[in-house]
Amino acid sequence: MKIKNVMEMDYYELLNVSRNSSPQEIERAFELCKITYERDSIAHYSLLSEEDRKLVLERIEKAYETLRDSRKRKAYDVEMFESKKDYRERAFFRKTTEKLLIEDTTERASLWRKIKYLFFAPRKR
Amino acid sequence: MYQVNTESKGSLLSLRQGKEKTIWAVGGGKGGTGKSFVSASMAIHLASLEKDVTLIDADLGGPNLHTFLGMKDSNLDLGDFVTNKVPNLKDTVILTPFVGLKLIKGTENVLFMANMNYYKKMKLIRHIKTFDAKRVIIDIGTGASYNCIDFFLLSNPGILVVNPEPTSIENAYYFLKSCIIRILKVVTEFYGIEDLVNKIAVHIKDNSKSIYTFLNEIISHDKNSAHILFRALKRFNPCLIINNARSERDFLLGQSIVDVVKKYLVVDLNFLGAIPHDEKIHTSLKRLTPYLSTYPNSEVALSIRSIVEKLAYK
Repeated sequence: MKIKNVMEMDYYELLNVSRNSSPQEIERAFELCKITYERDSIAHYSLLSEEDRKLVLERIEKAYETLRDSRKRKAYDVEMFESKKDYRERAFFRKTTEKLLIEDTTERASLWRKIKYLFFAPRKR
Repeated sequence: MYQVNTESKGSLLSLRQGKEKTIWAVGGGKGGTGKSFVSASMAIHLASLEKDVTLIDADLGGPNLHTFLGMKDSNLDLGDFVTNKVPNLKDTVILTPFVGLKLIKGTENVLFMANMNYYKKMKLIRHIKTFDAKRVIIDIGTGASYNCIDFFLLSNPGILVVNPEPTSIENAYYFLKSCIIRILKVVTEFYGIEDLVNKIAVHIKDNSKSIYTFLNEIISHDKNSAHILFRALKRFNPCLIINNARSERDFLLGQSIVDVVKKYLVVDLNFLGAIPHDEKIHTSLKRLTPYLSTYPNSEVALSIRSIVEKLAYK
């Protein structure tokens, strides 16, 4: 378990959108983040230094640039998620990987996964 | 003429049978943000729906809820319970002009109530928890003292009332950080992991922006303890109301604050809505008439109704 700080969050977490968000939802989320972290905003008053604010805003802009472009978004998804080992492991029990959501499993879900493994061991590819 | 409520035994029995009681505590740190107005208005509307709401004025330094409800007479109040003049909190309950709404007034006669000691505070908290009402709304008042924070953490959920001003936001963040530290302290004492936490506690005291650093260092030392602390924090889900919103940007401020708090304080805040500014609130207060009764169709009234229904029936 690792608690992520802002610099470690992926682009979806940064913009507070889900991985299957539409381009319009991503645009709206970006507009809100821009208003939140712009210089004149009072939302971050007393919590963020000017340096932290600029850093997070840069990351948010980079996130938006990547996710608004479908080609860049797909490449990012492959790099960040689909190439990871645990993504492939979870995909065994799903009909299609397109519907798979990567998120931290709850304890109950991990327990259920262990039980499933006892009865339905994954096929080796 | 108002009477002390003498509820039947039936409602106590229903509590024992597991009838759910909700406690909403309204706070926020800064004074003058409209906590008392919001508490009173929410209670009035909720009572019109549920018929069993008790409003408690736990603003120990400056109780005003009776004024917002248009009640001037003196009655038994919280001070009488805290000073043991009456044995039970329910003995201080008074009826209000609103059907289904009861009030426990803040004290007018006991001075220095704000300096209530630990034992009196715990006695009050015990009685609130077992109080015989389906819905309890507590106005905890101003500041981030231990008393305010413990009343806030007693609730499910707590409600922060913030104005779209830097001072109010600053105090709200200070209040939230104080709540986080209080939760961590209570949890570490309960689970006996104080020694580990004390070694790393200097991070929290010196620089409360480094909650991530603090939790990640705990993880590196003891994953189980970190898991306990993280789950305790994740169960802390206060709500947020923006009061006195004047511009479109003020109405969006709530979502911005939710995002900032999630990213930097590891807390999931739930934005309930924004209440627009209205000069008629002050006019009603001066006339000692409840705003919601006088202007039931105003935008403020509609916002409050929407917030209450969102919270009560989500």
